[in-house]
Amino acid sequence: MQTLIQNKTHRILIVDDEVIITTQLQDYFENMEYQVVGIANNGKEAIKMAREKKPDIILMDIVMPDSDLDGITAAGMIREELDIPVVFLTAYGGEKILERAKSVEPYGFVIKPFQGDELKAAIEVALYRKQAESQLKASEEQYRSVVDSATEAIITIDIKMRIIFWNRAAEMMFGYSQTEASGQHFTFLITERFRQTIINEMDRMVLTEESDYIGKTTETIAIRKDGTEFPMEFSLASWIIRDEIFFTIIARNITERKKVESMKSDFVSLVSHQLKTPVSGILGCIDNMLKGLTGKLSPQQIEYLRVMQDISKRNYRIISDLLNISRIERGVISMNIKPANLDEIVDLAVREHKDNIESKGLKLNIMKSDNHISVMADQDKMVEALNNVIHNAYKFTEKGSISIIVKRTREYGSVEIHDTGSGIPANQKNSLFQRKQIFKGAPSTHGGCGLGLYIAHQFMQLQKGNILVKSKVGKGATFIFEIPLSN
Amino acid sequence: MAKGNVLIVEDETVFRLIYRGVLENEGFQVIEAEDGKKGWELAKSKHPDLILLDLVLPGLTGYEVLEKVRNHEETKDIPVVVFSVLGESKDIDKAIDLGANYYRTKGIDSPTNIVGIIEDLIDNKESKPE
Repeated sequence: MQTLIQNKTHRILIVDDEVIITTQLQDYFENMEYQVVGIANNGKEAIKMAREKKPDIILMDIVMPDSDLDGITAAGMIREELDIPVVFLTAYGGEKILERAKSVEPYGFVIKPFQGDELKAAIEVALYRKQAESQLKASEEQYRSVVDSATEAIITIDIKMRIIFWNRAAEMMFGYSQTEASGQHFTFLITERFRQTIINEMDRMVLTEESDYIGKTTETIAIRKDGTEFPMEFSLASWIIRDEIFFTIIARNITERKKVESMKSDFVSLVSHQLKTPVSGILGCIDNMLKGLTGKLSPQQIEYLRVMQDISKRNYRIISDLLNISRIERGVISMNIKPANLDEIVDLAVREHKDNIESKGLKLNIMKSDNHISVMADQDKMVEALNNVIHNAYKFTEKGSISIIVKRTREYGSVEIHDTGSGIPANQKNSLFQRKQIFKGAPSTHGGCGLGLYIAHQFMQLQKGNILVKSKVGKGATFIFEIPLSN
Repeated sequence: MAKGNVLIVEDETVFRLIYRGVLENEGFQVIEAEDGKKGWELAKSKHPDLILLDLVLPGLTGYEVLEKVRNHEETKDIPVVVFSVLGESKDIDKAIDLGANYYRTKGIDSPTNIVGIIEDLIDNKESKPE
C-alpha cells in the first residue's frame, strides 16, 4: 500500500532553518498526502538532499542566517544542476531580495505568515507549471529530432531570404555547415541559370503575399559547395512570429526520381513507336491504293479501302490518346514552348480534317486575322489540341458548317471553332474536360475513347493557355482556345 | 525525263514501299537503303538530289547519318527531309538543328503530301546561285 501511495503523491523537500516552521509544514503536507522526502536547515544541505532524493518540488526559505549559502543561491544552483522547481517561502525582505530572487526564476513565492490555502495553491501551480514545461520541452525535443533526422533539407529564412536555420540533412545535401550557410541568401543554393527566376518569384511572394511556391513543390537545379549540381524539389511555407515573417523551405534531392522518370519516358516513346509504325504503314498503303498508284480500282474495292482507312485512323487516334494520357498521368510529358505562328498551327490542324469535313457535305470556313499572330506554344501539342476539337466538331455535326476564327485578344491568341451540330447539354459542360468521362456509359459509337477533350484541355493548360466552351442544345458548340502571345 | 534521284533511308519495308510508290508515280528515281550505314554510303557514292531519312534506324541513327551528310564536303548541300514517328518537338528541333531541311511526322497525313515539299527543295537547290 505504502509504495502505491508514494508513486501517486508528489515528493517535497522542505528547506528552513526554523524547526517550528519545518515541523508545522511537515504535518501540513503529510495531511495533504504529499510525501516529505527531507528537511534541510541550510542551503548546503538543501543541495545535498536535492541531489540524493530528487524531489518533485522544493519549498525554500530565503534567509537562513547560519548558512554560507542563502536560499536564493541554493535555488540557483539546484535549478542549474537538477532542474527541480523551487517555491520560495519567505518573510518580506524588501525589494532588493525580491529582485535577486526573481533572477533564479522561481516557480512561486509564499510570504510568511501564510495560510494553508495559499501554500497549497502555490505548490499546485508550481507543479502544474513544471509539468507543462516538461511537456513543451519534450515536444521541442521531438520536433528537433524530427528536423535533425529528416532526410529532407529543412531551411528557415527571414524576409530578406537570409538563412537562419539549416538542419543536418541540409548540411549533407549542400555541403555547407550551419555556420557557413547562416546569413547567406537562400538562392546561393540554386545554380546560376535558375537563380534569377527564383529570386523574382520570392520577391513577388514577399510583396504580394502570394506565390506559386507556397504549398506547392517546385523543381529546380541546386548547386553544392563543391560546385556539383543536382535536381532538387522544394516547397515553402510562411509563418509569422511577433510580426516578423519567416519562410521554411523543405528541399529534396530528386536525382533518383528523375532517372526513373526518364526511363518511363523512354518506355512510352518505345511503345509509341512500336504501335504507331504498323498503323501508319497500313494507312500509307491504303492512301497510295486509293490515289490509284497501284492501278485502277473497282467501286467496291474503293469502298473496302475507305472502311479500312477509317478503322485505321481511329486506331491511330486511340494509340495517340492513350500515349498522351499515359504521359500526362505520369507527368513525363515534355513541353517545348517557343514563339510560333498561330495561323500555321491552325493550317496544320485543319489539313488533317479538310477531306473528312468536305466529304461529309459540311462547309469549312476559316477566318484568319490579317496580322501574323505570334504565340508561345508547343506547336505539336497545340495542333493536337485543335485536332481533337475539330475532330469532335464534324463528328457531331450532320449538316451546316464548321467555322474556325483566328484572332488576337489583349493577352492571348485565340482560335474559335464553331460547329452547327447538336450542341452540348448544360449538365455535361462541366465534366466535358474531365478524365472521368472515359468511364461513363457505353463505348462511344463515334469512335475514339472520349479522351480528346481531356487531352486538349491538359495540353492547353501545360502551355499556360486555356480552352472554353459555349453551347446551347440544338445551336451547335463553340470551343475557344486561348494561348499566350509571345512578348 | 526523271525529276531527280531520291534516296530513301528507312528500315521498315512498308514505308520504303509507300514512298517509292509515291515518288516513282511523280517521275522521281528512287534508291533505297534499309539501314543508316548503307544510307550514308549511298549518299556519298550516288550523290542523290534529295534524301528522305528516317530517324530510328539500325546501324547509324538518322541523326548520325544527317550529321555525316552535313559534315562531308560532297554531300553537305543535299536537301534532307526527315520523316519519323517520333513527333515530339524535341526530336524535330534536334533534326532541324543538325541541318534537316524539313521534318515530317509519319502519321495519319497522306504520304502524297510530301511530293510538293520534295519538288520545292530540289528546285530551290538547282536555282541556288553558286
